[in-house]
Amino acid sequence: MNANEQGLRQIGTRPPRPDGVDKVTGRARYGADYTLPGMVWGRVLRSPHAHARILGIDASAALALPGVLAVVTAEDFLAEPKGDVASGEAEIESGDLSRNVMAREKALYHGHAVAAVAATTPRIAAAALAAIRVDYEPLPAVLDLDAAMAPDAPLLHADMFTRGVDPEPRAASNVAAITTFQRGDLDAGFAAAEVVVEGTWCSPMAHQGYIEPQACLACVGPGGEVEVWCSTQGPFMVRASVALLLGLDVADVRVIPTEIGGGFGGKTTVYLEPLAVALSRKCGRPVKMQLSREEVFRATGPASATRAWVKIGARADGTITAMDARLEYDAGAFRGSPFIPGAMSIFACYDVPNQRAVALDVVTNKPKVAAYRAPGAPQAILASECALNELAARLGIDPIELRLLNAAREGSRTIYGAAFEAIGLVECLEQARRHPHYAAALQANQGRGVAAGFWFNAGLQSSAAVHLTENGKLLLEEGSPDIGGSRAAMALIAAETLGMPYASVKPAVVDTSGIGYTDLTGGSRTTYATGYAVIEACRDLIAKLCARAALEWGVDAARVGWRDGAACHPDAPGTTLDIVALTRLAARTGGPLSGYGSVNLKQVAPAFAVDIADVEVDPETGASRVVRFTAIQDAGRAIHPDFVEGQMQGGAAQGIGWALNEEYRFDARGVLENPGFLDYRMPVASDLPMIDTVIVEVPHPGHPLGVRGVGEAPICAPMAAVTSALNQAAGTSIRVLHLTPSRVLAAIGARG
Amino acid sequence: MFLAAQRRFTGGCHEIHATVRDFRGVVAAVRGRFPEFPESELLGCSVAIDGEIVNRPWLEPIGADSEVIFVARIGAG
Repeated sequence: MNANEQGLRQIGTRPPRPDGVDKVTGRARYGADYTLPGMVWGRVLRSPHAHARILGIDASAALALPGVLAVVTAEDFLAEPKGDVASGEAEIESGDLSRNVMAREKALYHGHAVAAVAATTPRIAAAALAAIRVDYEPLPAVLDLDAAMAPDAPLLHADMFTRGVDPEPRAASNVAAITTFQRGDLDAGFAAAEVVVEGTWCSPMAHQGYIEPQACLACVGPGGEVEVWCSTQGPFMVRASVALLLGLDVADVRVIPTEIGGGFGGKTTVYLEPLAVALSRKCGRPVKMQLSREEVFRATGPASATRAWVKIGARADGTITAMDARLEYDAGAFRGSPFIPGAMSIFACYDVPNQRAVALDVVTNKPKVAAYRAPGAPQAILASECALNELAARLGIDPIELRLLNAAREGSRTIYGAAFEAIGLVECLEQARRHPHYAAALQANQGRGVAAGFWFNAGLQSSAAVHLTENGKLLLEEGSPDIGGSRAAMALIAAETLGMPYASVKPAVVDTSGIGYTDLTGGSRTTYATGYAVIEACRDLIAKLCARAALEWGVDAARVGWRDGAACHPDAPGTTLDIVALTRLAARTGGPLSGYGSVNLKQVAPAFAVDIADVEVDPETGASRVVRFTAIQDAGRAIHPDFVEGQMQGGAAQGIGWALNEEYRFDARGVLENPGFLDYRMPVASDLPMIDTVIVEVPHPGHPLGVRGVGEAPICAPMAAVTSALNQAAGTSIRVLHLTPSRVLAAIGARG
Repeated sequence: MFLAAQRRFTGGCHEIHATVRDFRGVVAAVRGRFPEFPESELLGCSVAIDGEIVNRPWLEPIGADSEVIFVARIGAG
């Protein structure tokens, strides 16, 4: 059912975003744009070693410098804080969070924070860093999965014993955890197969590539009250983290989210905020901190490097009989890679009775990974979808037909036990099959790849409030930072629910003291869950408006209806009181008019995407480029199609970059060699073709409007589609990303 | 059914059977059987109840023949 069929008038339209003019004119204020009287500057001293014991820190010379006001080290944070903070899928335990924001016993990666200073100028702060003496005992570092899992590997954490192993191991290990998801009889499944494909695909550590580096301003008042302005996906997460690490009461911490210049999961945890608060508490002045681009690369969380082995068996008619995988995720310095979501998502697109996914969480001397759009899924799906394309070629079956033959549908059971309600994978595949792109002729040295992707889409907790102004406009307050156009979506949802013009709705992202608890912006949950809270707030307001109309008319409130933005008299057809009229009557019917909504959406809202990629390879140089790309996705309901398409295009661009361009490169000492956008080459607009989009709408049954969320599914399939296309174009079978010209050229040479 | 990482608290036991009315009862049954199993480990997960993933299941009803599978918390990336 489309928006018109559902009787929706504004949902599905494309009005200008409320924050658009501010953002294109430079008026919008981001994390680094805030100042306060008396403000001083914070800077971070970082480890020059990838692995070293910290024997001592002497800050006396730094503190003696004129203009230096405070130094903090790990001693200023709780070592074992009690409690948890809800963050992204790349979770971190509270003791590890404390040690990640400030190294304690050991520095665990090059660039790990070991101290921070506050000084009256950035130059003095830099001089203070140089004056701090840190006594290190360098230790051997482990920099990749093989080194970390070697029997004699140096250990990052002497107290880390592999979880999920039975019996519990007696020796410490860099393998933090192993988990297994399994259903059916794998042996029987492979015994029934007539064709089996198998291989190992590797994807590199990659950065989310948000344009705005982390920045914050913290101010601790004389009574201990804390204010933090920062660029974050989760102001309530920052509030909880600051309180947790510094032993504060969350009620004493107010976090004001600034505009955010991208996050993609990378701003679902804290790096600077606890440091700035600790420095401000120590020196009694507001403290501003901002990361350089180099610090962003060296010391914030990228996506895991991953090695994924996959084996798939099928009958000659294309029926898949068994799917097996072993996934190894590089977590960086602390446990908590997205290995479990990777294992849960790898085969979710397919209704196959016999499946297994074993996943490992492995620590290395690299930055602790963070969430990145559908954390863990793109790396896993790279392997399963490339294997499926190889299987299709072996069977001589069209790759979309093969997927349709085995596609998950309503009622299909997943490897993790859940059964799908109404989902849109088949609809996406059929759109792909019908799309002109799929029938278009390829030119010389071009290849075509298709791939499907899946993500859960979280619900979780959100709050919203709506207030009518004296002239009948609507102020809408929410706690979800706007990363991808969510203000416009919230305004459309409110306008639709109340039956008022979109232009009369003024949405605002407010601080943690101005709205009820809201989980962070991520997990594709904002339009789904916060949008639901907006509906609830508007319904609450409608009930109050009907009650006011009933008072005015002297009728029973339960008999007053609400239609087209007005209360309808139950006994006098055509007699109505609209929002403006009711607002004018507010003072004499009970006072200001507001509505409140809070939800805890327990269900996930599964989303599927299908991509078609055409890649051209220069056989002389190995250089490649995407010449055509089509992204198809089930949005459930596209509230504002511009921003749905924007998410699809953005996810595609990031997936293409991960396949063709991007990779963290470390030297033998664990020093990142490409900590900047010149050497870490993300695709820019001129590198990419127009990314065509097709929005599929199979409404999610757990949402009044059918919303599923759209932010993460778009990055799941592009790596596999591009890799398959490139291999077809070059006649190669490259399975190690990224697909550098040298790697492609070597594979072409080896092909002969 | 327990996650692999949870089985360190169950002596390797993969699943138990219990008669409960809601997820609170599941937590009580698990902790009654395995006193060392931290409540936080149970509440920090999502669960699939008869095939439907629920993120915060505390008050979720559990039928007589229901299947409850612990899965990793579906969060926000």
